[in-house]
Amino acid sequence: MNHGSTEDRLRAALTEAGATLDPGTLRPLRAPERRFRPNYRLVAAAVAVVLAGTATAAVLGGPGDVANIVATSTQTLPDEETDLAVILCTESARKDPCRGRAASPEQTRMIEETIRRSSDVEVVTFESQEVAYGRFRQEYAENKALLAAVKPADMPPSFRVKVKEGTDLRQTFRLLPTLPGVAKFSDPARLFELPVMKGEVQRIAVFLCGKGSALPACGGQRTTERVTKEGKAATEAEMKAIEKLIAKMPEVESYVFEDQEAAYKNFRDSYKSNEQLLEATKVEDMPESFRLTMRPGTERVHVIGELERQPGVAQVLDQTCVREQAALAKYGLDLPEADVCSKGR
Amino acid sequence: MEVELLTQQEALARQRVDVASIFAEHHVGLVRLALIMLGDQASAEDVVQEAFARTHAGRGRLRDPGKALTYVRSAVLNGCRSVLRRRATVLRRAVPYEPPVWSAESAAMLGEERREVLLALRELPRRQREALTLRYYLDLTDQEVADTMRISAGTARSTIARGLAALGRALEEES
Repeated sequence: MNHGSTEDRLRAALTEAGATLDPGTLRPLRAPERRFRPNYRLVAAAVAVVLAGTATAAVLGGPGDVANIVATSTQTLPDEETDLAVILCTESARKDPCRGRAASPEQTRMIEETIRRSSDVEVVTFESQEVAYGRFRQEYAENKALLAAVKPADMPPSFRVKVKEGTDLRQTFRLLPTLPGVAKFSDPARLFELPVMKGEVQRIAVFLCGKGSALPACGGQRTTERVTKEGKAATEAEMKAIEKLIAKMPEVESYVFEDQEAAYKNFRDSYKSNEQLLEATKVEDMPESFRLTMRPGTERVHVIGELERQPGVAQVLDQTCVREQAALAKYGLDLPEADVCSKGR
Repeated sequence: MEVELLTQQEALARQRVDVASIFAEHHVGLVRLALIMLGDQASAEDVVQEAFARTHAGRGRLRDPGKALTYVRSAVLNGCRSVLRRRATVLRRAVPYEPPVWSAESAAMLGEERREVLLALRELPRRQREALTLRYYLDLTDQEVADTMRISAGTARSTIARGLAALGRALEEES
């Protein structure tokens, strides 16, 4: 095949592709008022936070992009077998890339076709809004606040995919994120295995500022790309003051101090299967923390609030709250953070 | 002196009209360009609308009114890049970033031969894909392609040549 005919074929294909647009369907240009551009938060970052909550990654200054796909669930394909959930746009998904436009039937078909095209795919099921919402209600029957915050129309439908073992999701599904109608991804199977999803919810972790922390609470600053200002580590005196405060809190049943070595060991145990994350994390990246075990049924909001105000404290994580966030990620819900984990903030 | 000032203002006023009218005049074409880059009409319209709004806001800064169309196309191209980058962020590190897949509506209307070419185009690196689209869809010269992409004319020329060769190879493999 010579160049001339490649040129001709390309020209013809482009012309025809352009011509598929019917000018009659164009929305007119709006006069330029000041439009607010949506704040595009990286899905990956949000996901990293969810993951992070279980242990420490949120406090790590570094590898925000290491563990980037996380999760959802279904009726036909159980969570533990759903390697990837492709969550579709709904009208409730205001942010990019959906901008309040639900996936059209054609887009949905295209997405399904693209998923099925891969030979690594074992099972594909579609979970409708109704089914997803039903499952969500069942799972959170006792959580009135959460149920009230989520309307059936907010619940996104999704394709749930099981792949052959050892499949590289990013490589296999690299075209998916470019498809219109795809809101985000989650990986219920991995989320299902997170330590935080199993027991131990009476815990609160108080992370101390480490050297070079990018968290504002430690005096650091960062953009999504890099740390622009390094914060200061908690001082000896600050640590003592924090410990003293914790020791006299009546809500706290017991507490332990976790140093960098111990944190690193726990981290390795928790993320055994995530080689990328492990590789990217060094002992000196680990934050030190106090781990509090709360007395059952005690007030947590006040405790968290007070600890967060202490100098030298980077972040306070309530695992109940983390668990809820993880659950929302599983369903692909896009709620303002305030609805879920506002306690103590 | 006074006369000169007046003409300057007049030129400025004309220039403002220019940008807006260029959009009006080229609206369909610009959306089509974005559609080819992005694969769906809704996103394409958004990109053009945003480029329009931004260009309009910065109209005073437009130095050379003769370059307005280039400027506008460049803005649309940039908007497309952002959309693609945002879409790709979702599955980060998945390959640089993939060009769009055809929306089902368009795909249904396009023949197999056309889709094959577009799919091959989609697999090319970003620059090559953009350069080829500008050249073979808009029939721009090397210099115009270069201005729109904000690269040198030489780079535009070699990018087009390399892109075309790569596309030829890809199509040959397919068939």
